[in-house]
This record gives sequence, structure tokens and C-alpha cells, in this order.
Amino acid sequence: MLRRLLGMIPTLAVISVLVFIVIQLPEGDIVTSTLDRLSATGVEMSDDRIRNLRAQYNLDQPLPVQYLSWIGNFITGDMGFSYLYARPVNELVWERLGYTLLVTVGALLFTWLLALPIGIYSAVRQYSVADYAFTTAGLIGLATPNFLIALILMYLGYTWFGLSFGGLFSPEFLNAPWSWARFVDLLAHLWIPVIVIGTSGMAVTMRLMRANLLDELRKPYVTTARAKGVPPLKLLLKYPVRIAINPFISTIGLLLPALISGEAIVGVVLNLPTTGPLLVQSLITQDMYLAGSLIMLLSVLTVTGMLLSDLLLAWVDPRIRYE
Amino acid sequence: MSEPLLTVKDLVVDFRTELGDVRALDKVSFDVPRDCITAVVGESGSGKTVTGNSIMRLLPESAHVTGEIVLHPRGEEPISISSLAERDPRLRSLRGGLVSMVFQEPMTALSPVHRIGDQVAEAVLCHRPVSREAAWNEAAAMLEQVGLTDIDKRMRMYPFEFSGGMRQRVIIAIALICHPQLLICDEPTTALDVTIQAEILVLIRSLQRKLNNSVLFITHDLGVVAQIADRVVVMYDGQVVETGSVRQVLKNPQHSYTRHLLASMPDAVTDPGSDFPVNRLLSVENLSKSFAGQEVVRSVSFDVDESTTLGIVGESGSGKTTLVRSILRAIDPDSGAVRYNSRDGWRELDGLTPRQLLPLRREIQMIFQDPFASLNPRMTVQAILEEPLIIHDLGDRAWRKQRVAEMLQKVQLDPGVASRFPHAFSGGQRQRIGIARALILEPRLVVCDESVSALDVSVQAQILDLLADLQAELGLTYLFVAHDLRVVRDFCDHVLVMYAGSVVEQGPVEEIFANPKHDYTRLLLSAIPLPDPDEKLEPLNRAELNLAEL
Repeated sequence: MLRRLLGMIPTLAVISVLVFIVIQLPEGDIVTSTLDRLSATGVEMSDDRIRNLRAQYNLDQPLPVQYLSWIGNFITGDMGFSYLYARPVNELVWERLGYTLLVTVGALLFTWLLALPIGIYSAVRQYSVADYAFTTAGLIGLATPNFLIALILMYLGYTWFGLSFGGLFSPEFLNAPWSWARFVDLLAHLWIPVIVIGTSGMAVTMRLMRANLLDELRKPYVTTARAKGVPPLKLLLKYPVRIAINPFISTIGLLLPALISGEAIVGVVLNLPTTGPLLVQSLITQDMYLAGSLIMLLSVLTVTGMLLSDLLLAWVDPRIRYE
Repeated sequence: MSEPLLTVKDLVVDFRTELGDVRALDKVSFDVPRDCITAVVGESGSGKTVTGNSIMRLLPESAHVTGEIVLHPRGEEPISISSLAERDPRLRSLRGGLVSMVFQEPMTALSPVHRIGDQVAEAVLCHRPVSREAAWNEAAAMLEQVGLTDIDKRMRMYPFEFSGGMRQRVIIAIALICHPQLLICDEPTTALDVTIQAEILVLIRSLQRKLNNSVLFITHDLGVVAQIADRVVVMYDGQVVETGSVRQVLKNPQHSYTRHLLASMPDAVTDPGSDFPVNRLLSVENLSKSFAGQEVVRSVSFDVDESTTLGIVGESGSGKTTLVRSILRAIDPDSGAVRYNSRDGWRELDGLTPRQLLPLRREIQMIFQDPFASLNPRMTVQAILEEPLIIHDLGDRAWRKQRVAEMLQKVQLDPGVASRFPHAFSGGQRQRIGIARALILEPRLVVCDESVSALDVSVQAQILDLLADLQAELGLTYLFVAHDLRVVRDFCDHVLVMYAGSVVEQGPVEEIFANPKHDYTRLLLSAIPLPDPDEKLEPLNRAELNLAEL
């Protein structure tokens, strides 16, 4: 356990160097891209101002120094300053993380509450009409890009109900303080991204649950339980389902990285105040601190998520716990 | 005579498959009398397991069943098991209540994620309105009866912390805890080592006497039948061919199939014999191998002469597989020497690089245990058999084709089958293909790793005959790894007994069997179930001999 925790440190150190290198790879930096933008509008800057600007952002320092100051601040909880939004990265991330968590967890629950029972049903009634129907529907869902579903839902919502679905709030609540009405407004908007993102995982979850359960149903311990006289429904849930569900529990850890990078395109299409669009934007504009910190955060959450998955799996499966 | 506990009458079971109906049972009728053990014996495909599952109503949905199965429980109305609806509550109270079952695979028959105590106690809670605590206590008492010790601790453990023999005891406890009147045991000892098998057989027999119930004991092993049963039902191809008392059936078999089964028992295999001059082929000296700091093979030494067969026996975990793999250089031994007398003179196998080993691999071949897993299902028999020739760059296409045909003839298969895929063959035929693959390179030393243990007894006898003939014809030398001592006694010239990584005894077969010196050898020999009801099994006590279970 302790070894696992200590092992994370070198992993993250290597990742941080890689992240820094990748961010530095494209030609130019935030100053050159600002200059480009300015010169497009006809404004020219003197060399002195440019040098000052570089000095202000530490860009005149050698790369190792830049790296150390960036990572040092990151460790102490300061993720730097976003040139693009002209605000500290910490503020930007924290305000969006809550909504991202809401959407991601909502989507996961939506997926599981629907797909797991369907998977169980499909396995128990293998090759029945309903099994084929669910399989077909699931595959169509899998094959349709998420943003397309988002666009279709937005279009239908607009033409049928005259509603605009962008974002998580109606314009009048966007900057309003929290109130019951604002909460209801949030729920009214939330279901769209939840369904859109949730359907993407449905087909896979359904098929995986079906396959896992079919494997387990053929195992001798199921026959033993039947021969014991365990009632059918209790038997199904207590034995094979209990074991077939383990792989899903281990995917909970993958939620953490999804908080940063998940569903960026849907986020853009639906204009959601989540972290995905923020990441895309920062990469396009070479907003070094924002992009670097987000990717570093993504890595930290990935590694932590993996650890969390292992812990959860060990908690539910004694065979792993004792190894 | 009193009314039987169970009557099975005209039981017919068909399985609906894509290729049409397959008849598994054809008008099977027999009785299970009260207070005794009835054995159902037959080979794979005889329908014995389907019979047991029909009584428990555990057949899959694709099975179509007609006929009658009636249970006459003591002090209760008769129950027609065959006519109960799947959702009938009486069926549920029957399963695990009046009738219960012990299965073949102790390793997988318990849920891996639930505690032993919970799994045993659940059987009580399913049938009687008692508190969890009462059920737990009852489970503890039952586990003690089946011979588990340190009960409190063991009940909180998980199945993967138990050995196969201990798991089978747990399953027996689950089956007996509600005092069933009929206990069905489906090959309960087949997956276990011979000494553990003997312990479980003695346990089932003593519990049957103590609890006064009836046992239906399904097995393929006539030795086990003779040891445990009072009555015998012999099945062949979905039909009952003979029934009677165990003495009657085994001493004076009426049906030709029963006689054939008895004749196939390993005692009857003819001695291979050989007229080749003695010439040492393999010499192993102080071979050791450790895994993760644990010594699995400890300083093993032995010699093998050309055209003889050396049996290597021992239970799972004794190190016999690791020993053989070290000799074959499938793994590298830690220390010791393996010298092999090749066609070009003596070679030290352990010092050679993989490239240097290649020519010697032609001389040393292996026949595997599992005839199903050891043949690539996507290759034709022709491709499987000529692959070794291609690897060693021998001959052209036409020559290889002719060689494959010769080899198939040698293992008594029709050369015309070369274009087929492995799934078209039975287990015995597949093992013949495996033998042909091993022999096509004209090896001198052939390692047989449990090569006949997955086969039915009559097929096993045929394969052993074939191996003996090939030995006499080609002067082959066999290293014969096996756990069935009956096979070893009749097939091998010398035997090497392994326990906990060490050789505890070695010598000529007759000598070891007639006069075993080491306690472990005596324990192994005392556990052999002989197909003679007059020679009852009395296994030595492991604990008294101070021999730990591996």
C-alpha cells in the first residue's frame, strides 16, 4: 500500500517533465500569439515592451528554471495565471469543477441505472427478442457520436418546445445567487448533458455486463447455490451479479480524469461551464499555465483514480485483498 | 424389501441443439434403495451426470425431459420430482432440503467472494426459519463433522484460502447440513489427489452410516465404486446396461460393456517389455529450482536407461511438473546438471543456448495432458503434424505429406483425416494426434505429462497400449508423469516418488509397490481404490505420519 503511494511520486515527476516539454513544443508562446493577434488589428509593439512582457511571465528565463518555478508553484497549490482569461487558474478550475462533477456523476448514474439492469436481463434471457432489441439499440447508441445526439436533442427541444438548452442555466439565473428557483433551473438544464453523455457509455456497459454475467452464470458455484435451494432472484443478485459487477466498480477511478478531459466536444456544443471546453481553449491559445496545469491535474487525477480503483476492487473482492 | 427412496422410470432426456436433438438418456430406469450407497458408473457421454442433474432438476432449458422421477421421503407423501414446475416452491425446498448434491469441481463450486461460514449457513437459512446466529452455529457443528479443524477461524476465511480437499469437505457440509434423505455426489473426488480422494471417500462412507441417508454416487472409476458402493448402476451411451449389488456386478459382470470396463482397468495393461540393450539416455544430478524463494525442486538425481519408462509420481505441488520442465529447459534450473546422451554423444542440456538446444529438441518431445487445449483449433491435423517438420526444416511439401500419413497410420488413425480440424475428434483421437505430433520428429526421449489422465478408462487403456507398442517398435524412452498409481504400476519400469520437491524413494516398480520404504509412498499406496469390494480402502492417516498437505 505504502509502496503504491510512494511509487506515484516518480511517475508524476516524469509526467510533469513530459507535460512541460509537450507544452513547449509548438513554436511561439503566449506573447507571440498575443502579438499575432495585435498585429492583425494593426497594433505594433516596441521590442522593449515585448521584452518586458516576457520578463513579466518569466519567459526570458532558461527552460529548466521555468519548469521548476511552474512545478514548484503547482505543488504548493498555485496553478499559475491564465493570460487568456486574465484570472488565476485556480479560480477558473474550481468554479467549473463542481459542475463537471455534477454532470459526470449524473451521466454515470444514468448509464448504470439503465444499462446494468438491461445487461442483466439480456444475459438471463439470452437470445430472446428483448435481448436482440436492446443489443441493436445499444449498438446504434454506440455508433452515434455524442455531439450529434446533443445537436439533435437541442434541435428537437427548440422546434418542439421552443426551449434553448445551451449551458446549465437560463440567462436570467446565470449570475444570480443560489436560490430554489436557480436549483430547479439547473435541474431543468442538467438532464440534457446527462443523457447525451450517459448514452455514450450505455452500449458498452450493457454489453460488458451481459458478457460478464453470461460467463459467471455458467460457473459451478451458481449450480451449487441452486442445489442449495437459494430462491432464484436472490441467487442471481447475490452470486453471479455480485461478481460480474466488479469490473464496473474498478472503473469508478476513471471518473477522476474524466472530470478534466471528459466530453470536451459535448461541452463545447452544449456550451457547458465544465472543464473540458476550458482545456480545449487553453491548448488552442497556447495559454501555457492554464494548459499545463490542467494536463498536470489530469495526470494527478488519473494516477489517483487508478489507486482508488485498486482500493475499491480490493474492498469488494477478497481474492485481490489477500494477494 | 422396503420401498426404495427414489425411483427413476423411463427417463428420457433430449438436448435441443442447432444440429437437431441429441438424446442424452434413453429410457433410464433404476431405484435408489434406502440407507445405502448406490453408484452410477460409466464413461463420459454415458449420461451419468445428466441423470444426477435430472434428479436435482438442474438441467439447462434446452433439455426436454419425459419419464418419471419419484422420491418417497420417510414419513412424507411421495413427491413426483419430474412433474414439479420450475417455479414450484416444493422444488426449492427439495433442493438442498430433501435432496442435495456434491459436485466435481471443488475449486470453482464455491462462490469466491463469500466467506465459508456464510456459504454453509445460507443453506440452513434457505430451508428453516432460524436466526443467522443459530444457522452459523449449526454450520460450525457441520464443518466439524466433515473433519475441518480450527473452525472459528476457517469459517471467516474465503474459498481461495482452502485446498481442494478442504473445499470439497465444505461442499459436503453444505449438502448435508439440512439432513437430506438423498445425497447425490457427482464425481466428487475426480479432481482431487489420490490421498485426498481416499480421505473424502472414507468421509462420505462414514457420514452415510451415521446419518442413515442414501447416497447416489456418480463416478467413472470402478476402483472407487468397489470402495464405496453397496449397489451399482452401469450406464453406457445413455442407457442402463446393468444393475445389481457391487459384489455381483464387479465379480460376475453380466453385460459385455461392464466386462470391457473392468478389463480396461490399468491392472490389465500388458507389460511393454523390450529387447533393446541397456544404454543410459538421461542423467539428472542434484537438480534444484526455486520460485520466489521457495524451493520447488530440491536436489533431485536420477538416471534413465534407453527404451525404459520412468514413472514420476506425487501429488499436485510435489514439484513433478517443475522437474520435467527443468529437464526440457522450458524453465532454467537454479543448479544441478542434466546430461543427455544424444545421437551425437553426451550433452549437458543445462549449459546450452536456445540455438544449441534446437537440434536436441528433435530428440526430446512431449505429449501433453489436455487433448483439447493442446491442439490449435484453427489448424488442420495436417498443419499441426507438419509444423514440427517445418520448424526443423525437414523435407519438401510432398515428403511431409507422406510423413504425416505414415504417422497417422502409426497411431491407428485413418490418413484421410489429415484435412480435418481437431474439433472433429474425440478426446482419445485427439491424444493420438498429440502422440503423432510428438513422434513425427523421431524423438528418442518422450515426456508424457499426465498424458492419459484426462481420458476415459477404456480409452486410457488403448492409448497406453499404443504407447507400449510404439516403445517396443521404436525403442522410445518415456518420462511418465502421473498421479494415478495404478497406471504407473502397470506401465512403468522404474518409479520416482516425489514429495515436497524431493525424491523420497526411487527404484524398480515391483520393488516400490511391494515394499515401500518411505511413509509417503506407503500413504500413496494405501489410498489406491482397488476395483475389488473385498479389499476395502483404509488410507493411512496423514497427520499420524507427520506429512503435511502440500
